[in-house]
Amino acid sequence: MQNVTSPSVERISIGTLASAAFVEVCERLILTQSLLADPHHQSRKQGSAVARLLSDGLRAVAQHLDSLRRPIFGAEPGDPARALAGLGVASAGLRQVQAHLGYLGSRWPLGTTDLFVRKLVAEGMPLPVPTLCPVDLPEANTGEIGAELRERLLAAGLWTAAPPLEALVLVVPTVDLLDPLTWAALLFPLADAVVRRQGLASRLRGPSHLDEDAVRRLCVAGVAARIVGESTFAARASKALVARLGGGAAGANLGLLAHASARYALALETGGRASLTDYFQGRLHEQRALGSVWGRQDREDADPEAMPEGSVLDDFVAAGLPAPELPTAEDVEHLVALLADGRPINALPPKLPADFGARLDDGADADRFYSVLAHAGERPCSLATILAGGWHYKMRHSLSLCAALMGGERAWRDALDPYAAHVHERSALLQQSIEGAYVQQVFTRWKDQ
Amino acid sequence: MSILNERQILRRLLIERDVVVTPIVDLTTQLGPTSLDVRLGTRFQAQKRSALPYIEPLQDEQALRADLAAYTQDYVVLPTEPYVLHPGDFALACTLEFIRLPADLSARLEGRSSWGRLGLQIHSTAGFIDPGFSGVITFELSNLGKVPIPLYPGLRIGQLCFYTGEASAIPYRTKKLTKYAGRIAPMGSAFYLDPEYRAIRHEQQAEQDRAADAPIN
Repeated sequence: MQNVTSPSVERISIGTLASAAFVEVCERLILTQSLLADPHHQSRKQGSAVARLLSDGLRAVAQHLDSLRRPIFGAEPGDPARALAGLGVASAGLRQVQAHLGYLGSRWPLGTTDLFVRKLVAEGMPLPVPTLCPVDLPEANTGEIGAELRERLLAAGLWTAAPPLEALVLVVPTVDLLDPLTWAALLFPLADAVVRRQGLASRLRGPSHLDEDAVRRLCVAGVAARIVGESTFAARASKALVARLGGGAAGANLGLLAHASARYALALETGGRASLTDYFQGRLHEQRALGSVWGRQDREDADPEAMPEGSVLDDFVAAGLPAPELPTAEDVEHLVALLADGRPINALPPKLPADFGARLDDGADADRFYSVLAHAGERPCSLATILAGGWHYKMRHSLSLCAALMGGERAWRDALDPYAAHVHERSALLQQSIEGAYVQQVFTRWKDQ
Repeated sequence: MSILNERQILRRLLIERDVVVTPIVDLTTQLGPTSLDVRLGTRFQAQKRSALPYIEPLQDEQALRADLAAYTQDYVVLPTEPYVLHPGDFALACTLEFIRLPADLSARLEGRSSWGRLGLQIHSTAGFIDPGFSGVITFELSNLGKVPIPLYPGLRIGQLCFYTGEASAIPYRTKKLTKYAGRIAPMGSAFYLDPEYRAIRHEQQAEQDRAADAPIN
């Protein structure tokens, strides 16, 4: 079997993970601060009193993060294992504050998150439009509420019918509503619903020692990657970094998460080029290499031989799902440049013929002018394209900006405020991109029919 | 100062690329002889009734923002669902398009006659867009008619006319004291950030200090 471990993985160290984890904890601190500062609950007595209380808690988290800047980003970094342990304390504190967001008594609007899942379905995902429910805890992307409730009722000794197929209710952490990059993690519970409802796991043959749950998890990862590319792993990894540090439940499955965390700390590849089987074989080799970073190997996922044979995974995914619209490397460069310039990435520019300018000058009458317009339309981006552009931007710009601001001698607020402005601008541009692309897709699709 | 025609608009958008308007869903329907139609975005900020007697601009900023929030409600609307603007209602919305202008170009936002005939007004005072503007343009929507108007994202409710001139030395993005630069969602009024209120607040404080120091007869 060919070893397709990417060279970058060999360079992964615990220090790399510490800096990536700092960025993730810091961004969630910023987003939680934004939730508390929302003037809508500030306008009520209950909300403003609780907001003050929780803001005090956040200040304690911020002070702790401040103390970790020098060991992680300073000219002479300290012990990365101790830094990671320190981040664990900050992350656990942050989770405690977030767990109390419901006390504000606010009803959090879904905003663009709802458009995100509707656009997913409009792009061809074979599911009913999911209903999203904001919840306080940050690691809440666990699956369908209906299926989970049924399992709990059955465990309690109460029989209940399976949830109806059209009722797909998922939870989304409140703090994630503000960060479109984390929405790619919603693909895991959505893909899980696809796999469950279509019985795909039982149709996929695997080696005899691979249990059904392991096959299902591979299917879920394959479906998620098929729909929005590797962004889904990056989003899941970024959440896992924080959750695992803070003792959250989502850190329990270290298999793909360990790999994705490490890859996220370095660079993303755009998925979907190679076959999914090759892709996962490569990922599993990398997991082995990463075992030492995390201090353990992970169950059957870490064994490349445990993969289902041949192209079964590819065939199964390709048969059930439309081909994803993933960006080319050139597209990604273009999108990252746009975001860096403060522009949204809702569309790719038209491919103009070389003589477009001459034809435009020549289009002095209506017929000739309108014929020129045929080449001038923008192409709306798929969600996979927007997320890939956003994640590449985060890894190239956000991480280095955070390191530059936090690594210097600035006071905490002088370092945090410009980074917060960057995070809010990135989030706003990506939300604008999703909204613009969705509306354009609706009108373009009608026009093309 | 002259107005750009359709080919000049296209040249600046697609060849010189110093004007940004995106997404452009359909140039054939959006381009006019001297204008480019713009569409309604997905975000709305409605005004609602509140128990507050009025908004006091001289109080501290956090309390003032909370008071303003008591009067407003934000919505994100799906492309297939309407935001219904009832007779007499006022709401903020924004263009679907992100817009950026170079230093030598300004623009004017105008309504479209089909909507005007229904009583829809898309801006009340702020129809001028400075050179160097970057962001989405805010619509100040009013229904002056007698029937509710369903507004779907993507509808062409406005148009931009572009005017060339000498390049500005202080394009909007670099101008001091801008309150709405770079915004990409409807933002409620930030009238309280005008420096005049600081002057009034300062003078009020001085009056109180003088009263406190005045000798008691």
